[in-house]
Amino acid sequence: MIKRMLGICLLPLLLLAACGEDSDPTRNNDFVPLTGITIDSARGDIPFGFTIQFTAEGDFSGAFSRDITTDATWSSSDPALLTFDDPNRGLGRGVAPGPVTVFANLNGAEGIFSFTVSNATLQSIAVTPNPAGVAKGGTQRFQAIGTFSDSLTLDITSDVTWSSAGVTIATVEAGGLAKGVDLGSTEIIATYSGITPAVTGAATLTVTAPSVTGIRLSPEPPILIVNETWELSALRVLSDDTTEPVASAVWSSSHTNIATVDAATGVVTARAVGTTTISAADAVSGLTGTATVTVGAVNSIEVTPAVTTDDQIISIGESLQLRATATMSNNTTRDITSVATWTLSNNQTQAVSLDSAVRGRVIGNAAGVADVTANVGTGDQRVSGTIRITVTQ
Amino acid sequence: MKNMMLLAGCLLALCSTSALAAEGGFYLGLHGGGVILEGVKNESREGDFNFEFDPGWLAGATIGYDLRDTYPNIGTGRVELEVAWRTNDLDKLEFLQPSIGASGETTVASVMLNTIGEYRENLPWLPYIGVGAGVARITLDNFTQGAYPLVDDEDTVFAYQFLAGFGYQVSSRVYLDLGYRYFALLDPTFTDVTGVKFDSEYATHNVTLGARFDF
Repeated sequence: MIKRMLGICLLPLLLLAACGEDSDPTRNNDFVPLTGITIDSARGDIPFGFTIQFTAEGDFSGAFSRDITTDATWSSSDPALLTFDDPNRGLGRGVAPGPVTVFANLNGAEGIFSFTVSNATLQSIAVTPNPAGVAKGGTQRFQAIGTFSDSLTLDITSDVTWSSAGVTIATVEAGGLAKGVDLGSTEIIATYSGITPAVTGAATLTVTAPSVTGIRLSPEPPILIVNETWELSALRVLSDDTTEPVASAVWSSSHTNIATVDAATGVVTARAVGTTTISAADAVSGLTGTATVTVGAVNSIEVTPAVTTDDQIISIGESLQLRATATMSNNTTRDITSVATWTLSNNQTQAVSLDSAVRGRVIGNAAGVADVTANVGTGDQRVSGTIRITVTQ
Repeated sequence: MKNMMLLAGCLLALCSTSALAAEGGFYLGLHGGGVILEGVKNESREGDFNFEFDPGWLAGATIGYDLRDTYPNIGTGRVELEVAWRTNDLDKLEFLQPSIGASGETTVASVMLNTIGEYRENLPWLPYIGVGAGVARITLDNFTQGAYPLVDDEDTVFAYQFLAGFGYQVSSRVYLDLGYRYFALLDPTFTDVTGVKFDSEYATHNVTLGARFDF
């Protein structure tokens, strides 16, 4: 009996244990000693004046290996031939021709790599892609490939200086990233000044009309209340950060029981509490924009004079603008003056009337008092807030 | 969430139930059982890493006072002081790279003050729920992977638990007890062998079998 009861209790416990928080580890296993370092590079030599990236792979007691390029400390046997400007990056720079040994050290382990700085000289630079095109506001990355006197070709993108022949058409930054500024064509130039005369290469970049990068829906709706409408507009966002209206977007709602949207106009109508996604498809660009629409329940309504310094007493002929503030189910508040239905009660001597042109505005007609109520919803779902207005002679 | 559970547990524990006429008195108890320690996520400036544990064991002793019907304004139930010892073996270590085995043991020695609400309408069966709070000493004992040490440290932290189960009255002074406990510690902190501090966790599910003797 006891065994059976124990088994029944243990089963849910095992299930509970399986519900523990999962978390992907982010820490390196530094508790296993590093026993070896292997250095590698794309080439075994490099012309002086240029850089090359070395990598280091750590062997942790034969259990596993991992890249330790940025953990290791880098040095060379002769900094007059090869130097590391940042000892923790592994980026070597050839200073003068000659053979060197590259070292990577970490936690007492050392990697050794034989390397040569050659005396080959740069003959030409090819900038790729050539020709290239980019939309206005868009970017295009270029690469500089150097050809040397020993027929070696090498990516020297980070060793050259980048410039644009027409900065009003396109600009380019270090690393070869060009940006289209205005329509037209220009030359993107890579220059290596480490030798005399300097060596240059160029590519033609044509900047075309801005492309559509996305569809934006605006204005962003507040938390809507049931039966409230909200008109959305669709805008094409262009590569130059400008926008243009979408003339004929096709609108849809993911949950029409929460909110519907007019397929042609983008007018959203809240139907029930919940969240839905409104989409606008642009046939011209083939892109679709989305907006999240939340319909919330109103917990309470507070009616106050719109101008906080106003009191609730007005004279005959005087008007008073009221404001209805709703507290939503998520404890946020919003102004629903223009959404609420306004009614009068206890309107002794017809003291006030509602301004039919402006929601929430009352006009003093005769001396007396009246209760002015802002309502949303119907039947059991109705929520109201009331303020008493006094009209004096 | 934990705070809400704590509050709910306190309220439930304080709920009075009608009682059969009986006098209160002191008791001694012994219990033992199985411990399932949830997977532990450790956070440090070097990154997060995880521990997984094998199922383990617990043993404990209590001395308490059974209110019976002596205090009808308070209700029926018990207040007890508990000392307990839990242990789980380390099963697995999780880093960005594989670990090379895992060994070690987590032990927790705790002193808890428990309040237990007991339903005495269906003797000899006594269903109960309760909460407890106290202090615990947690030890990560000789955690290693292969031949390489990882941590050997301890910390003293706040402990809390929720209890539920039922007792069975064997005789006028002896009760058997089968129960469940959720026992957890608040944010123990340790330092590994490389000198890096890490924030850890400890939350367990326990099944206990025990006996209680009135005196």
